[in-house]
Amino acid sequence: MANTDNKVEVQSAEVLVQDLDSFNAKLAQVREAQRVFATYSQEQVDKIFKAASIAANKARIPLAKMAVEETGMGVVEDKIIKNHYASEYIYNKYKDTKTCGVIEYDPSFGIKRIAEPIGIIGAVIPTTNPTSTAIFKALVCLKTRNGIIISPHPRAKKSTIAAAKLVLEAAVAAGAPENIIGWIDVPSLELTNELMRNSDTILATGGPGMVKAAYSSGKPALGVGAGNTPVIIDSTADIRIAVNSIIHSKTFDNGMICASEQSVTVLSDIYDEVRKEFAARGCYFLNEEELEKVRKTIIINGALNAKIVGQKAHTIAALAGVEVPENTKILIGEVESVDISEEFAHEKLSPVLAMYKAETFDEALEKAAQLVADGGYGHTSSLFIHPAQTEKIEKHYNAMKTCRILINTPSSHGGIGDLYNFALTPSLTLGCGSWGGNSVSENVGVKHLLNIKQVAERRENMLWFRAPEKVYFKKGCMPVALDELGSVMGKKKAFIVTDSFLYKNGYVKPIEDKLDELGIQHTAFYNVQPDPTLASALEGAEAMRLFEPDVIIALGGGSAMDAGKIMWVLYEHPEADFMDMAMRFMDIRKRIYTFPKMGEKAYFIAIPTSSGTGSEVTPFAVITDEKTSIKYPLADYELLPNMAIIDADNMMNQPKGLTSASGIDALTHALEAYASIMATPYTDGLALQAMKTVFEYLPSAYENGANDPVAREKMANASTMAGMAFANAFLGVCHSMAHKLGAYHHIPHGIANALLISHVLRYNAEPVPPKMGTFSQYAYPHTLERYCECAEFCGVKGKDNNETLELFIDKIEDLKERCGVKKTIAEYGVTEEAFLSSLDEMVENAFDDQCTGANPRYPLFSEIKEMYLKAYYGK
Amino acid sequence: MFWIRTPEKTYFKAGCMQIALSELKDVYGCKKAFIVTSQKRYSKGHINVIEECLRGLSVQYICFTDAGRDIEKIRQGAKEMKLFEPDVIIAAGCGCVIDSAKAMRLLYEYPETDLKALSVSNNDIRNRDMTFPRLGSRPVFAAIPALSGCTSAVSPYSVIKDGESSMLIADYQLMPDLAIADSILPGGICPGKLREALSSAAAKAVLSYKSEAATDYTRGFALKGLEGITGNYEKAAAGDSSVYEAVFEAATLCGISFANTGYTDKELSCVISEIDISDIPVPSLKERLSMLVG
Repeated sequence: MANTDNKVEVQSAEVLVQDLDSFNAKLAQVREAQRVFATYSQEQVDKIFKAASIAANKARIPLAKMAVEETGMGVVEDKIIKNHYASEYIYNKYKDTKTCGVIEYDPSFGIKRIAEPIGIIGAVIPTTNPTSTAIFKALVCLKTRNGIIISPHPRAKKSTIAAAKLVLEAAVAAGAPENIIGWIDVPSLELTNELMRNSDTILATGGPGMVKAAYSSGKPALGVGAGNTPVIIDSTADIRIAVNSIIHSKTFDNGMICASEQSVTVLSDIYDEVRKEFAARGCYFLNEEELEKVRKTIIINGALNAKIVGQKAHTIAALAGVEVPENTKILIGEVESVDISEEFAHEKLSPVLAMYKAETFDEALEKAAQLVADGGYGHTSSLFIHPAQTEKIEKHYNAMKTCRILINTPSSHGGIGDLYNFALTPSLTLGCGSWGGNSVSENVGVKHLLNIKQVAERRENMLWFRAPEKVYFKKGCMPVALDELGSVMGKKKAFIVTDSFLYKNGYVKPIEDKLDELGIQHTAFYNVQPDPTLASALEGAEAMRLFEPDVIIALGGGSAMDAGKIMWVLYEHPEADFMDMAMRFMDIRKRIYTFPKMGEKAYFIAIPTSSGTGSEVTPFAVITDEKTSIKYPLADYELLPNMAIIDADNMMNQPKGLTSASGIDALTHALEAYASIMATPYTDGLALQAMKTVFEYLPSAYENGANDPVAREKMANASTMAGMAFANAFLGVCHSMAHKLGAYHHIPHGIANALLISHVLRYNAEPVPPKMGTFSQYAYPHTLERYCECAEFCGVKGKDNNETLELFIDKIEDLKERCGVKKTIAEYGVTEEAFLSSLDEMVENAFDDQCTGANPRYPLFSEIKEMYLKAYYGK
Repeated sequence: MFWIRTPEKTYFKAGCMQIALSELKDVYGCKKAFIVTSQKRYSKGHINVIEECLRGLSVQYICFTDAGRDIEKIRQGAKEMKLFEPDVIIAAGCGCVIDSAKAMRLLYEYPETDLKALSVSNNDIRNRDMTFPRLGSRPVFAAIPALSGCTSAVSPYSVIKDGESSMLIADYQLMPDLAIADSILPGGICPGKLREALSSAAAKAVLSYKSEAATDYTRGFALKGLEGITGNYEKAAAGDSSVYEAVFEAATLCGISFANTGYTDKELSCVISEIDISDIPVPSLKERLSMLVG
């Protein structure tokens, strides 16, 4: 009488599932019911979940009686507890859990998590816990909008089906679709396999054979494994708690919980006392002869004798031909071997316990580990010990390859969770991890029966604006600013870092005079090269370590300030690994290396003498390893100087070449910061002001030098503003390429940038670039528009964007010419041969430079090469 | 000598609060936070996200909900800070909350301070008689502003009231260490107060731009801030939340500019309509500004 049409009928109880046809019909019914169930709301589901739990709970006594009667195993009163637990504890755990629809929403991060059911759960129910496991699995499926088809054990099918039917009826009465729970009425291997093959996930409870079948079915399975729980009673244990916990647990339902104790290993110094307590509490110690008889009864042909499973001690003894008191709790066999050849070393699923003696804790661990390997991998192990013995507890949990390690609790009640420890998830399906061939190593619950979808909305990274705590400027401000060292900060010892030219030409004197006035001791280090080297930084750091300054003053161009920063790091953190600090990063806040905290020993003041690199306000420092000639850029906000003093008095006499090179450098800083994918309104304002200022004042600063102090001051500020901009927005491919051009062909940094910038501008402005920069706030290529904003701010406008850009580039070229910058790389004395032979390496290194990442157009090697060639030949 | 000074860290972008506050644990090692906010904000539950974040960071916290410009409230707050001994102070809300918290922090660290003596009547913050020596380790001060608090979050000023008279106190000790401008936080933008908040920020930017103390540094911030406000004002006023982040940023930029040019008492409560905008250099900006004024 199988259903041949698609209509869902209520007659599930009338059509017995006993062969392939009836099974397939049932499968179709449950699928259809689940399809509907999947649309239910959290409210509807929770109502059903509650009603089903209540119904199961109400029927706990009759179901327990039925189970014992049908299987002939276990204890009715204990099975009542199991049914009660399966309904009440499971309801309690999950009553407020969100399992339907949107279960989580974080508007800040723009992420939503949505729970959907898996589909049909194939549940295999063991004969040892026929009703409680059925209730548990049915309830968790109802809570997660899954359908479930139960395959009962032949020996327990009546009680299993009764439990399932009860839960189904209550669920349907509360609004669940008919047929949401199904079962196989006449179980067979064939039908169980068919169920497994057709389920969307299998919940398999049983022995290793069945678990293996589940995992081989080709469908995801959450299985369990056999347990061979070893217990250790340590010398420091509370013996009464230990013994009585073990007895309580081992006799629970006549030892049929898989987590139950199978053996106990007792430390020799307490052995006698333990033995006495066991005996006093009703356990029977088998003598040699009895032991042998029982051995041959419990394990027959290497397998557990089904006749003893779930039987009480007296019955098992009788089977073995051994007489013991009627009310004996447990039969204990004192044995020595933990090898599998010893019958007592097996899982016994009955109130039969092996007892071992160990001389030392380590020996006990060895025995326990072997017992786990014998047949309980991944399941449970247990230890009775004084809680303060943390070292031994650690040794124990490191040695046990089980997914539940219970300290001072009965292991049946302890392993299932929420009874003796309230953080362990209550469950009747205990995962054993890969050790047990499972894909789950914890107690199975609703989270394993859901598919979670995540909806991720576009969000932008947090960005920042960071600058030195104090940025002081205006012509003549240096002594005023330095006054704070005495009047505000109470500094005692100042270490000045500068280069030999500045030192010998009296630039340091005003600083030294001021320090003398404040009564601050000082010393100077001036062995700094144009490209600061690691060697000289180490030298300086050593000098610092001897002098122990509480303030460092770096005076000079980029080299002196960078050298000063590096020395500062080495002085405060001699242990810091340089190579780690220089590691390239994609996102400065996610980098692998954590820069050490700076400023614990010394305050850092940067005073530029050129306009400039902007190093006085940036978190960057570039150091060259003189042994390999490789340049390492260090970048971290810990390197930001505490104070920057921009005093044009220090820049008045910059030679023309320096004025021109550093002036253009400032311009390219501003341009690259503006185009950068990390540009923000905070940096844009500074960048625009900087650019405009450079256009307006660099020519005069170049031509008139100290005779135009206004121009000098304007340039000083332009350089610092550009520095503040790129300190936060970073740079781009122009600087990457300039770095390598400088490294390979010794062209000054500012000039290198100047030679490349116009080519880079055109390159970046391409509205259809092959590759775009990757950054959430960077929405689409718009660099042409950005450059036009710069142009307009600087007073340049064409009839359309393309013309505006070209006019802007013309303005830059004009500036370059007025400041004596030549037109091509070739004109700087780089031979064609030298250039071309270094080109490929330069290209790759430029690509890999830290600055490249912020470029709006992500460059291909070929594109970098092309720009280099254009800059070399001029077209 | 002039200067440009900003909070040690200014963090922004919609949704940045949690990331920024995680530094309390990762960078500053804070354990106890003293939150200052207004009763209104607190009862509407706007502080919940901050509290939740702190719980996640295992930072103990306490909330002072009676923030206000009145000097008595400030004294009360400082007293409670003293009892709690926080290692971070979080001011969350509008300008008066942040100003209030700044003054509280000052009193908490330097209990003998005479707040009235700190009040500025001239432009130069450095010319006052009072200076504060740095004492050992001090609590971190984080400002999490609503829109109307963005300018205070980045400045060394606090406007307080003694009875009926308002006064401006200024000192770099009042500058927050962390300014967290997150437009997506609950209560960040009150549509009814939007116009007021943006006009006020714009007014500050214009005053700052024209100030004698303006420099190239501050002008950049002012112009960008004004651009942001005027360019997005209409949409924001109409309730288009896609521009909220932009106006938050714009207000903060106005604040940075203003914070570095100083202001006089008479400018305390200046509104945009009272200010002469005729000499704003960018024509399109001037045009848009006049719309805001009108």
